[in-house]
Amino acid sequence: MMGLLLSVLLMVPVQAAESHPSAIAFQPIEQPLPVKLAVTGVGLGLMALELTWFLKK
Amino acid sequence: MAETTVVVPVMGMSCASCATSIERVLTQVPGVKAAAVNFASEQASITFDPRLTSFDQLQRAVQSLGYDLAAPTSLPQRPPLNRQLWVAVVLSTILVVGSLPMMLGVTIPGWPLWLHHPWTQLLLSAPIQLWCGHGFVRKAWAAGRHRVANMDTLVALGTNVAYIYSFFPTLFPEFFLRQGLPADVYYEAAAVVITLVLVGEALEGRAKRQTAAAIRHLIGLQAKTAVVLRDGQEQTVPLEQVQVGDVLRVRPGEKIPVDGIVLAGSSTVNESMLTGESVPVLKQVGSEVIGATLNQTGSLQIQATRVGSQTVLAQIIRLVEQAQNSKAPIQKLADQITGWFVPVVLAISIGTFVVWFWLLGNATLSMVTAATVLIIACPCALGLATPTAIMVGTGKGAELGILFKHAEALERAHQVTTVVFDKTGTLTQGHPQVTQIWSRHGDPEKLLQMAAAVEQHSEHPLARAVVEGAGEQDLPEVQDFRAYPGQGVEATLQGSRIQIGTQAWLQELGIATEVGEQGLVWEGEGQTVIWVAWEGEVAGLMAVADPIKAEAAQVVRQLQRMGLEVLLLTGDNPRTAQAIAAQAGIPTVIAQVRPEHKAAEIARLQRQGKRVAMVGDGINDAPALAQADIGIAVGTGTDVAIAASDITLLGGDLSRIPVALDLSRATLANIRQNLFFAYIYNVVGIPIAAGVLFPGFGLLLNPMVAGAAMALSSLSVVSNALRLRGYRPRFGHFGEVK
Repeated sequence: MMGLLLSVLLMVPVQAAESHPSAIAFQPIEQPLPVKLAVTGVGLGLMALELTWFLKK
Repeated sequence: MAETTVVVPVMGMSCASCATSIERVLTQVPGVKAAAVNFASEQASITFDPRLTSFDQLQRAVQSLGYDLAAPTSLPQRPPLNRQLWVAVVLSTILVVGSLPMMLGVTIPGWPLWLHHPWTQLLLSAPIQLWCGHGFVRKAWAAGRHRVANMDTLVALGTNVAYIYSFFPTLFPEFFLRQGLPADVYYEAAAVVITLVLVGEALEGRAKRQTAAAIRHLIGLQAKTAVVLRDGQEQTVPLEQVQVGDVLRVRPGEKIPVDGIVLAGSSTVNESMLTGESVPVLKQVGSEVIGATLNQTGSLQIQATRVGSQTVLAQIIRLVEQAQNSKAPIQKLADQITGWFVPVVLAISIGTFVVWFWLLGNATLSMVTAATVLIIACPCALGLATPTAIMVGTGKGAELGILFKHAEALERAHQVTTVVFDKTGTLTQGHPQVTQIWSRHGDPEKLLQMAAAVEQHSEHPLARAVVEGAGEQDLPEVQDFRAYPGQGVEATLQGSRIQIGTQAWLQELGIATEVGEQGLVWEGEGQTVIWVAWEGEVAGLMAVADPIKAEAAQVVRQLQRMGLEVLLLTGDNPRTAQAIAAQAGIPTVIAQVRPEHKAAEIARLQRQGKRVAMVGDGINDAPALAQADIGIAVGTGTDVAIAASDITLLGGDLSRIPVALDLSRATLANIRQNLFFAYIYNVVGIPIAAGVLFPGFGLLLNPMVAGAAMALSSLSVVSNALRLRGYRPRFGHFGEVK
């Protein structure tokens, strides 16, 4: 029951949150491929680094 | 003594991962044999060799992780409501009030909109981020250096990512405006998340302290002072100054300060606070009294026999604390999950950023979703699910006179399929009396005197019945006394060999027992027959009756209604055993089992796939109690039986057996609910925070809402565990127990 209540709690404010910050802030932006690749590379590197640091002991 | 165990409060823990990492660091200190950290009770139980390490070294090891160990005390102290929390609440309220029109999407004339200005938000949120939330960063850094990630890591990263990101739109708003985007900042979100987590921790700490209410209740039962008789004068002294051997005066209405024996006076004593027995017990000269019980009607003079940590109450408190700080097997899965939970959440957060950046190319959206994933994930609820329920369950058991030795006992008890009762002293009242005597030579008085002369050297309950039956008469001396457990005793009396015991034993000795037909009749009535042989032939028989306890039949019916098989296991002969079993309503009897074979009988039942609970009270039951899946010792039993058992029932009332098993079922159900809440919360919450609903529905979770949900999830788990405090046994007279 509490799990379901929490789920409802999670859902309801989502709609209220749309206006703050403004939805326009989340519109698509065209990014150059090299930037996307760089972000992906850095992201995967960070993932590997943190998983190795915390889980491989 | 090579090893010592200390139970000490741990300070600064914020989630179950903290407990796991402290355990790991402690076990790495040379000289530490074992360490168990309980997040719910905020205590660590450490067993170490004082020659190899010291408490200071243990403390330094824990401090290097960002936590601390306090000096050993009985309970963790309640931390004061700190200023950081109040400052965070006040500043967050101002920030939220300033943003209210924007949140609601309305215009309110005269509203102080300057509060919503990025620079104002930066200034107002700075104390929260840099001072109130500094603890999260400090502990996350200390844990990270030890390659540990915990809830502090998530909160520190989530809020700082949002906060530091916000510098960019604050300093370079035109960068966003040139792309047609608003220069939104997240100072307020980071500040409110920190505040909500601090408020959640405070509420959670308060709820967790309620789970230790049973211990506080037990400690509160102790009398503060005692009236000691010294040189004929009554002196009121603090309880700590009472010593073994002191003579104490206890007036009507006063608590009995320590355990002792009544020297003078008689009174009724209410022992319900310790044993759950609602009927007051009559105490006369020679009776034992228990400290912390309430003297009701008369004045008593008692001699202290146990004080301080040796009293029954102190032992009960130790047992409950030990159980509350132990780990149930069901917790192992949650411990394993919390070990890798945070690193995996960090990976999901980075992955969320990358995926959104690929899909929409919007760094703001990527940052918000990544930070919200960090904030909503809650390892605390997972870590709290089991220990909080165990703490409340064992505490509730103590209130009802049921002491679980460890959490594993509480968990295993719900799996029991078969309950095996010992007979004498467990199913019966344990005060056997000689009811009839048959003498071959027509002199029953002489037979009883001879038997008592031998039996006075034995500690068997039946031997005591024979000696009591002989009364005050002088008993002759015997030589060469020998006891054969489960069979009988023998000695030399006036130059002749005398054996007293079971028919089977006498037959083994080659003594003809055909003369004792009377014994068959007595055995059919449920009485135990003692055979007496003199110089190699039967001299007579004695019937000993030990009535079954008043509640026995009702308890057996209750256990059967719970779907459990009930058996009687006894060393007595089959006829007596069958008669007693019939009175109690037990259908299956395993009779004529010697004490050393009782454990083997339990093992045989276990091999048949049964989960066996053995209920016993005597030294001879100890191996069977240890062999059983759950050993239940009735409180009138011996220390050996209690040491070998998993559950101790105070007071010997059998009605506690179904209550103990039912409480175990209720606790396990509660643990399962808690684990379900904790798992489902993270399983549902993390994908929503990552923005899975954004493409289809345009719904995105605000980081502040994620913070509130995170705080609520742990609180809901602790609150659910606290429901067990309202557990009421559904049968017997236990509905009335205080």
